[in-house]
Amino acid sequence: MSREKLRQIFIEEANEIIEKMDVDILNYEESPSDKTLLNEIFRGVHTLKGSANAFNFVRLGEFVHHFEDVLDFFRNSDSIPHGSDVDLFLESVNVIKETLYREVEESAELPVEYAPCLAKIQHILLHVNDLKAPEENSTNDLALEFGNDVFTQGTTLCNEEAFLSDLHEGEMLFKIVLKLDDDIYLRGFDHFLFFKNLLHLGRILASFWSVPEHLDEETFDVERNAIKEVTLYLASSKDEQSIADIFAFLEEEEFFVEAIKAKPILEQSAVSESKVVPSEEKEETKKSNIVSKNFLKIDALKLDELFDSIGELVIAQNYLGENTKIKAIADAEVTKTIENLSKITRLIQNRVMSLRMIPIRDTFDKMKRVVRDSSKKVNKPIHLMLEGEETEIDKTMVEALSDPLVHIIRNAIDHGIESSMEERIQAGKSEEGIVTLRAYHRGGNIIIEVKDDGRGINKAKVYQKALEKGIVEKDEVLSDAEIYGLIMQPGFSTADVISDISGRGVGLDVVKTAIEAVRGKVDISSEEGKGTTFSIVLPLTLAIIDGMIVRSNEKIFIIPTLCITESFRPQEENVHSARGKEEFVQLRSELLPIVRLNRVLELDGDTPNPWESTLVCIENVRGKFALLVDELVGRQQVVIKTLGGFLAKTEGVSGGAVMGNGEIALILNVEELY
Amino acid sequence: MYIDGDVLELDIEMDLEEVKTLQLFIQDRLNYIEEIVLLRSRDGAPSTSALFSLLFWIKRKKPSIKIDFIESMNLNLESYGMMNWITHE
Repeated sequence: MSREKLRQIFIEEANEIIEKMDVDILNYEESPSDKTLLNEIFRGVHTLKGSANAFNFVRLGEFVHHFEDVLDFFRNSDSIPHGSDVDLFLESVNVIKETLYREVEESAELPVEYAPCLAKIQHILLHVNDLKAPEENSTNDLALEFGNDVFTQGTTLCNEEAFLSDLHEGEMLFKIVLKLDDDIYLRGFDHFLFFKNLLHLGRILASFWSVPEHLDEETFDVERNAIKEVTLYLASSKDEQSIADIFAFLEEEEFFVEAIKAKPILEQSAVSESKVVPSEEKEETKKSNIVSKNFLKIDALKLDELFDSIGELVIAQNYLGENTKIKAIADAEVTKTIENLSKITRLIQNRVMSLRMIPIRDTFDKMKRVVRDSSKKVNKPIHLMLEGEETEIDKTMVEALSDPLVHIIRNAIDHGIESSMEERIQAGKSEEGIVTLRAYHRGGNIIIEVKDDGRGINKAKVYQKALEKGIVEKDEVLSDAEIYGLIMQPGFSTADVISDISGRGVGLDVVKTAIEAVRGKVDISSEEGKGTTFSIVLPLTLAIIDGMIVRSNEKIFIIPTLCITESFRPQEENVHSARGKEEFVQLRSELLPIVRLNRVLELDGDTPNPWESTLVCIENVRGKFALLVDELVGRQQVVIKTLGGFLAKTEGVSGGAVMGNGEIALILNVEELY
Repeated sequence: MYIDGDVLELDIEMDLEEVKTLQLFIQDRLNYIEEIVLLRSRDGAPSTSALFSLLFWIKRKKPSIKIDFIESMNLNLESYGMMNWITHE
């Protein structure tokens, strides 16, 4: 196996170890006496150290070496790490992550937190060894320890000598001055466009920007460049003309390039030898950095194409099954083959579906860190409870879910949970605020709940604020859900206006928009003094659903099977009417409202008696209801097709599907039917 | 773009169109925004200098607002090196 191949494997493994470390440390914090967990973290760090040194990732190796010593101390002693120690562990993981990245990128710079974090680690080590801190423990002397000039402040000052000392073999230092006109953006240029292009020619060491002008103007025109001058220092092995070519489209007076001085060629050394590799190999090395997990990575676009193809296969298979001419062939072999084909199609479909489905566990695990950091930030002890981590969700949904979830959780901790322990104790609650993250399936959807046991939302204040803002009319009667929904209106509430839900609502419109973009929605329920629950309702997948085909007014519709609990034809005596308008049906001990599909979708036709029709019992976020249809036609897997811009907003309909006979059927959105 | 309570979190990679949207967004909300934080993905680099100009303008409009890089007058842009802000006499 080539060294490059081994290097790739190391990078993959290192990323896995680091990700695991993050989660393990958070779990260890919850049970600090669990030495097994500490040993697990230690083993990961130990492996990382060995491999880092083997691959000449010296700076990573050094850092991990000291971190390993700290972990070794705790695992071999009775000392239990304090909260601040765990903070340091997590900070160290961040530094390790960032240092690995820079080592792989062959970047000369180290993360900003590298030196301070290492100093903290060494401080612990000196303390536990009962030694006096020697002078070399200072940050500045770390540079001497590692023979590395990154710790110096040189590059942050406009000191050309410092930049010259940063040059690599064969590089020259260039000073570039940009004095771009104020119409530069309108001409399609930008300072950073040139920065980006310069990276193809070398390394940007630092830049010096004059503070923008015209800031006193009441209306600032962002489309006019207000930065008069930018000076940057570039280390490059190219000549002055090649660099000047980058600015070929600028006016002459808008840029200035000057070569400062070349660094003398360094003598070949054992260390530098390893860096002298053919340029092609270097290129390959950079490409290899992309791989970070021990999985086969597939372009999402290719997966989408595969999905589409499977969708077409399902349609073709349905067509075969439904075709009357084929059905008429009285041949056992043909029938058997078609049945077999149907089974195989379903099998392939399920397997392809599963490619996109991943447990929500990873997303939930990441939230542990969010909760921890937020808890520290606002100084409120928070206990996070996770439920339903094994629930599977479409990968596209995971990506769309992550940011809104972080937002809601931060909101719950910042504003939902009471601001002091005394307040909680007075309310008869535990000192620790409890935030629960729960995922589960309901009615063909994935529900992700973020629940806090805080003070809840003050409905009266929300309503009053909505009145003041003119969002609701005076005397307008709103349900609880509608009142809570108001807090997701853009800029609805502000911290200084509604003190007991301060900040809640600010930015929640962003969450709402993000979730709606993936055909989901956010429901809020709250009980004053007891807490608030945000429920994110997402479709299971965007591709294929198992559907119940129903007929209403001679038209075919599809209901996602997962929303259906049962279907039945009621007895006449079980059907009741209120004020001659609303209809209800008694189903065992429950009284369900009857929703006539033809009425909701405004289809012309009769209004048959419920006891002469079929009622499909459907469960949505508001509860159960009975959907009245003419008849059930059958059950079928269907590929969801979007309806296009014109029909996309049709209430009660979420998409369309091509049926076996080539007809188009509409897929019902049960959340909007009742 | 993200509002977390009174903290506005911005993606450092936003382009000119997004900066224009940001300006409209922030004008009505400046009263209750106390801090602006620039967020950056691992490889993230700024797309437009207009973002920084706008942030300086915001700071001028509301001096009490906290914007880290303006407090320190520098920002480590990783691949673009350290960005230092200087006032010409």
